[in-house]
Amino acid sequence: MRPPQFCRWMLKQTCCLHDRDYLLADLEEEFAQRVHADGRARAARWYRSQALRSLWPCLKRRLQLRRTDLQASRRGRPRFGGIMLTAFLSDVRLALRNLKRYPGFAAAVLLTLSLGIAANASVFSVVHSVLLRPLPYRAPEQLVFVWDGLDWIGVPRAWVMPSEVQTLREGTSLFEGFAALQTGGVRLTGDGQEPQRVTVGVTSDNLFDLLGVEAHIGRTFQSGEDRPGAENLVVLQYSLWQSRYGGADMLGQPIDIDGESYTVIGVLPSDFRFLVHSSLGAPSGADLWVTHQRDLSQVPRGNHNMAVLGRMKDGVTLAQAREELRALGRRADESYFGNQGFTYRAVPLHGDLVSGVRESLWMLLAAVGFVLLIAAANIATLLLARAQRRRREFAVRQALGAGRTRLLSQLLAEGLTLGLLGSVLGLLLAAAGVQLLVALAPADLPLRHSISLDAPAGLLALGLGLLTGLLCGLAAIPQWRSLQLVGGLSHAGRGSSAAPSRLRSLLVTAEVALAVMLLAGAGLLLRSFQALSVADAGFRPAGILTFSIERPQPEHEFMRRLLERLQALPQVESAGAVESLPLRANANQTSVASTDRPEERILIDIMRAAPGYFRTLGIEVLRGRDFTWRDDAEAAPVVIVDESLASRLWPGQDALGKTLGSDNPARVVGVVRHARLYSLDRDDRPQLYLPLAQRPEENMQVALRSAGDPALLSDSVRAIVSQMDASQPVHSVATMRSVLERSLSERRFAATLLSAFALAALALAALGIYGVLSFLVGQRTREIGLRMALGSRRQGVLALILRQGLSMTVLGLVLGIVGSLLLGRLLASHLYQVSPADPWSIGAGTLLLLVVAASACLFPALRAASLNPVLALRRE
Amino acid sequence: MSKGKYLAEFEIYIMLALARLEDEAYGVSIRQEIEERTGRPVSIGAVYATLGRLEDKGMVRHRVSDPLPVQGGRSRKYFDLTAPGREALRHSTEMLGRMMQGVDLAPRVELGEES
Repeated sequence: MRPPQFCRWMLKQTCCLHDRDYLLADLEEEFAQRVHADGRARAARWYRSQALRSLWPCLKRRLQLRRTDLQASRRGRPRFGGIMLTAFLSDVRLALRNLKRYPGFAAAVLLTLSLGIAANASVFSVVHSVLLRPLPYRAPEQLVFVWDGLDWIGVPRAWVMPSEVQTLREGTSLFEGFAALQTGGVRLTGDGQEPQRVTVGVTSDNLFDLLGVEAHIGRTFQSGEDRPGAENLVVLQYSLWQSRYGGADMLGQPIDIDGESYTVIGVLPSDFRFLVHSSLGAPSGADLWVTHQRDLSQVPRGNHNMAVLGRMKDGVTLAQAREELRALGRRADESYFGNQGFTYRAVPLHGDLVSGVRESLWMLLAAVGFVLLIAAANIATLLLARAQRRRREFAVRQALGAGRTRLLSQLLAEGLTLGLLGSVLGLLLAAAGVQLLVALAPADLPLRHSISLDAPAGLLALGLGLLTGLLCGLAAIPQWRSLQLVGGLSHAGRGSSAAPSRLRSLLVTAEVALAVMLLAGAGLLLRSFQALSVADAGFRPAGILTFSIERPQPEHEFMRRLLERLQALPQVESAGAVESLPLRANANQTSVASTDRPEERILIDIMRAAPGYFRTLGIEVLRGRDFTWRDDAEAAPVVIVDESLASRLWPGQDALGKTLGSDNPARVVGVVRHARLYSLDRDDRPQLYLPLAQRPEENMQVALRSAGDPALLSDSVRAIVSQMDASQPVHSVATMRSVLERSLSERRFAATLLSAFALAALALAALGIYGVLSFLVGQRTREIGLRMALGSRRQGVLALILRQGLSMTVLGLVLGIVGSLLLGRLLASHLYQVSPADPWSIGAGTLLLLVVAASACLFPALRAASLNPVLALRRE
Repeated sequence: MSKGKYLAEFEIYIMLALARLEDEAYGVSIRQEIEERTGRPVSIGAVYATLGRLEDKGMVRHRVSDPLPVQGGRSRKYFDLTAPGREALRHSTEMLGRMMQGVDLAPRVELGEES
């Protein structure tokens, strides 16, 4: 009966030689007795506990033996096995002692390393939490979103028409099922509390089954509960249950959603979130879930308005699933779309969710990796410089009989000790770093709530620390290879050997190159950001307050009275309303036929507007007029087009007075500037405005232009709305300025972080140059003294040192510029009105580095130039 | 008596176990003896480490037995007290006794420091 082998091995490594065999044999003897008495499992447990608890006394005893046994520690030359460990432990102790002896050096190295590691671990935590960690559903890799590919009108990913869902379900053999879902805004009322506007997820009954999510309390939907005439049931999101109902027992209770009564059947787990990726904006979650209660196959075709989630059966690959969907798509193309090239697109759920941020996050991780590389190069130069200074110590140790392996082991031990300490410190800092990143991250970053410093990030930090330590330790080795005993002793303290300093210059060159790349990259992003912040969005954002209301009754009359009352407020210059405000990304699309080529469809954004909207937003009316309240159901239908629609439909002609539509043609009464609906950098679709009084709409967004601070108006707004209709919630109150800033938040996040990394890189590179040069000056003190004694002038010495420092820098700069040009290409898709080879960004980065490097060189050079030759020569 | 001759608590346990077990004192028996009498878990590593330390101080010595008369039988390392060890143990326990005189409740007794 063998005892647990790993524990035995561990104990064997730890125990000192004299006792090892006896101790292990004793332990085995008792183990055998216990197997006999208590059984194998208990005996093994006992053995493990013995082994574990013996480790520390054995280790202590061993270290104690080494301390007293000078002979043993001098003999050096390690053998593998137990002795190796003892020797290594003593090396670690020596390394710790050395660190304590040079606290300045230790602090510099540890700070550099731990900051580098902390930055990496924090950014990696974000990357891991958002991009890599599997979503918290059953077998998440089998979940895909299915999109309609309407390539012929320029929409590769459109939502699916409800009637297609049944077709998909019937046609598939590779999918376990498809769930259809939509999100929308609804009003919660009737429970004696303030009306609240919440997001509802309207879904088929199988969504939670497909996700593999069970209710925290109660149940989720069951088969058949999404049919027409089924009972009104609702499942609450945990957060809403807590915030609105205080976690009270709600099962079986009725709640009012948009005036209809629903029965609560369950509450979802607190960590459950399901984000529906809207085809245009950021993914959005839901506060509560109901079923669609429709026979989807009976819904008339035309509207693409459902997200479809599919789960592939076990063992089905994405490629197979796509193949099947393509075949289904071809069938639909023939039977309904008239062979225009319709297809289904399947995108893995996770990838779909994070597609908008994936590149930026990887870019940030790469950037922060650069910072660590620079930090590592710095640490390596520091270690090299110190190794140089310790030549004498090593020569003495060698003379006393230490083998080369033994010295090597010491260098490695020092590197690893530094690495380990750096990792631990780095992890502590990273815990704060992750918090900082979450605070800085754009609010709509998908999966932001799940970001945390987790085990993989911890392992990464540990691994990076040890690897960096190991490499830095190894970097000091080449000079030991050439170390000659006598040379080491006689050169001690005087040497200026060229080989190690070449390695150091190489490291500095690399640092400079990396820093230039980071600076240039940050410059590119910052310039894009700046260009975007002043970009012409087609409207004037300053001084505007916006809010949303829903389903006022009667629709346009309510709006008319509301706008009149708002306009009467003292600060308000004008008020208007529209179905979709700029940068809110929620317009409806339709397509219109081109006038001269009827077969060509133009996809446009279409929205209702109330009179005064264009003036309020500052959208210029280029031709014609704004809507008035007289453009109502009794009057002739009118529309307003934006400049891009005018030029697409009637190129070179005056759009005023033209008509649109065939069965109920509407006359164009105005042409307005194009206002950006989605984001500042995306060139979006042409726009068509309809008068609210002719085409009533339930969900409207109101804008007020204020003479003062628009945020101050929000209380008056709420008061007026609740006077007019107490059940009408006012939501999404925000100034247009903050909406604008929010639309830039992702870019701001990337630009801020990259700039921070670039500055860190700059500081590290400067430190590196300074460190190497001042070390060189120290090394060459005697030589410099000699030169001066022989008539060299101070300027000459200054130039000599500066030249040496700048030659490392300039080579680095050249490499850095080349690297920046390559980097620019990678960044191209993130740039706005800035060329990837933007000379300003690259030039500024290069210049900044040059200036900083020159000043880093200057101090050691000045010190060299002010040397007193007599003292310098006498120094040996 | 120099400072090095003071005994730590666990050292006293070990030496008392040696005194009690006489010729039969080896790793297993010492460990079990202490564990049974004190009721606290004792690791074999601690036993050997302490024995080693006591041996350094000259209070304990060991002999290696012949291999046990079974197939693959092993040698055991038997320990016993040296004369100075016996003396130190007597001294320590005596001091302990003296310190205890007249003390009703002494939940903790410090016996010198561990070297």
